[in-house]
Amino acid sequence: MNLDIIVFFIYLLAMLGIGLYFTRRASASADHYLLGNRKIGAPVTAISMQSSSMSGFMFMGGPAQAFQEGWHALWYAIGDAGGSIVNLSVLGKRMRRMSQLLGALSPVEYLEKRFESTAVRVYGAVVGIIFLFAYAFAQFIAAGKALEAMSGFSYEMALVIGIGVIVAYTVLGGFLAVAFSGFVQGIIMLIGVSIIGVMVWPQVGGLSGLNAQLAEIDPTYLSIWGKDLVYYGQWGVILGAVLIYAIGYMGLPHVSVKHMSMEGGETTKNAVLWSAGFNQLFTFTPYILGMSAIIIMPSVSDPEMVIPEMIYMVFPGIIAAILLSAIMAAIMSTCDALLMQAGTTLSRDVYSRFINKKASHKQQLLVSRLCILVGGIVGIIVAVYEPPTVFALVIFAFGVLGNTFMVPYIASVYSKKANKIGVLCGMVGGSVTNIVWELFAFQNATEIHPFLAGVLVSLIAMLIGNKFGTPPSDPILNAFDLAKENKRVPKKLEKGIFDDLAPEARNISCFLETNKDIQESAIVNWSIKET
Amino acid sequence: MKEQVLTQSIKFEKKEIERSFMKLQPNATFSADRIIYYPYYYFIYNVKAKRLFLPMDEKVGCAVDAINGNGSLVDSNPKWEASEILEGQRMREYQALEDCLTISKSFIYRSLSLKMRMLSVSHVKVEKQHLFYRPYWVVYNSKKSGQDFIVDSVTGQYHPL
Repeated sequence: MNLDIIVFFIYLLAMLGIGLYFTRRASASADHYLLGNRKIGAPVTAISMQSSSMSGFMFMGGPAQAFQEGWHALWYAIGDAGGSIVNLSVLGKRMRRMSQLLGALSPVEYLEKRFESTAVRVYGAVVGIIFLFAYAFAQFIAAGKALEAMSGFSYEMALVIGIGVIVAYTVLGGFLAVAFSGFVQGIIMLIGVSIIGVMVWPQVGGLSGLNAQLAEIDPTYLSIWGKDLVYYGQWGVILGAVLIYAIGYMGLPHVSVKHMSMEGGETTKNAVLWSAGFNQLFTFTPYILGMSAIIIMPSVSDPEMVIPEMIYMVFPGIIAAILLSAIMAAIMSTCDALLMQAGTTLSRDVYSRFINKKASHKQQLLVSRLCILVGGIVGIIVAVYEPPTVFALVIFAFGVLGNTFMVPYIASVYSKKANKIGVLCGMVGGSVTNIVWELFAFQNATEIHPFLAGVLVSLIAMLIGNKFGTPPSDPILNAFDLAKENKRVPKKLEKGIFDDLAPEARNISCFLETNKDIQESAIVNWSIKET
Repeated sequence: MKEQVLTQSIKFEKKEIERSFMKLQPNATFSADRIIYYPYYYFIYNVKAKRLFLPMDEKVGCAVDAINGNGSLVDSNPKWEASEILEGQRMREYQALEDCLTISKSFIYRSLSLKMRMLSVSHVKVEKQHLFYRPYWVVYNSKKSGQDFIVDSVTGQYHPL
């Protein structure tokens, strides 16, 4: 066993120690896991959130694509950085309001309630589970590669150890997820990535130097159409590349847990804003490093190993091992969240609804954990026998998720006429088109990105399907109208609106309306009491 | 008619709320006109589970909206106060305690399944359950076309009416 793998296990033990220390303290009880630690402040929470969302795509997929395609790969980063803002401000706001009004806890449940259809939920859940696992498999491959680089084990052995650690961590009781260990991990990575950037930047002569040297090697590295101009004039491919990351992640069936604060506190809301800020900072860096590798390490045999190799090039052995351990632990955290969501969705939306309707809560929990174990085994098989690239797998998973959910989400808040048949047609049409487009490589023949093809088919299928369904019920139409209101609220006030209170606001509004007379006497009494 | 019920104490007072709203929209006058008490069921569960390194034996709180039946996790064991409130200030619960108990149990299991790393739980038992009322301010905008709000008087969070 070499020194690096020993460092990795010491690192995991250190994180475990931090987790145990904070878990044993009364202040970090179940609330710490279920609600996040609300006393540590927004920036610390944000760094912790960010470290757990830094996935294999960021450290391996993105840089590898930039290493192979040059500036063309940045289309994906642009979608990632800009799309999330558009999504949050345009679609996100209405959808959040609507999902609060409907009392939905996950996007799939939201679609079921909005379109009053179980079939929509089932199809959404099945696609969600399959492609959440596909996304998790990409993390497995990344973890295997990171461990291979550190340990010197064979890829297969590293994969079995890596996935074994991830699954055991997720199922049996991980402590890395405690906010403080996430914070320590986040700091190590932030410093590490910044130092790599600072060290590599002068070596390539800054952005101008990088471009000049890339142009000398092959001018098409600088082209928006990809190396060797393979996508020349193919706007359908470019548009798909930008849209995929901007919208695809909306399809991930993130499940939220509503929280009612018994004391004051704004940490969570601010932390999300801080985290979005950090995300903007780190979206482009891995791609730039990937392109820098064309200059400083052109002979890398596996493009996905660009960042790990750079770490070994820039840092002395033991520091490099610590940094790689932090990356590995971050991949574990991302993977852990994906697996937990996939397992819970499967047990709730599929197992207890169709396979065993009388399943107890304990059985459901067990099924969700077994699902994670089976996912781990399938992940090992896929990653050993047919390992796709991290980039290809992430893009495929995100593409299908986006094609399944994008049109229904937009229709849910912008089209009053959209109905369950239309939405179901849109979901099936979009997802099947993307899968078929990928399987038969239709992009080459049509010059249209699978994601764009999926969007177009999904839209057309929904418009046709809408002709056959029944219109939404009155309560849904009322919720639709309520969700688009708020036009009279000035921006400053609107920023602070707490969407979780939508159901309370609606009920209080009805109460005030129906009890006008009693209310008036109550005001008088209240004023008397107050004076 | 007045009735004695369990409530949470008001942390954000009338003047403070009106001042804050007027800071955010200086060209309008806001009036924190009245308090409405909103009903929730409160449940505390004892959860035991076997985990690697550290067995879990913890309390997990859950509040269920007694009108809609929506569950929420709660973050501490709050102090209640018995208050006399007027009929016109109190919203009636539509959900029965038994139904909300089922909802809360399901909600707790789901939250544990999503967030806690463990193979299975050995024990989830409700230890406390009761109805309580949370005070919300109704804040009116003096402008005819202006937006009115409710303000959670415990946290200060607000939402348009």
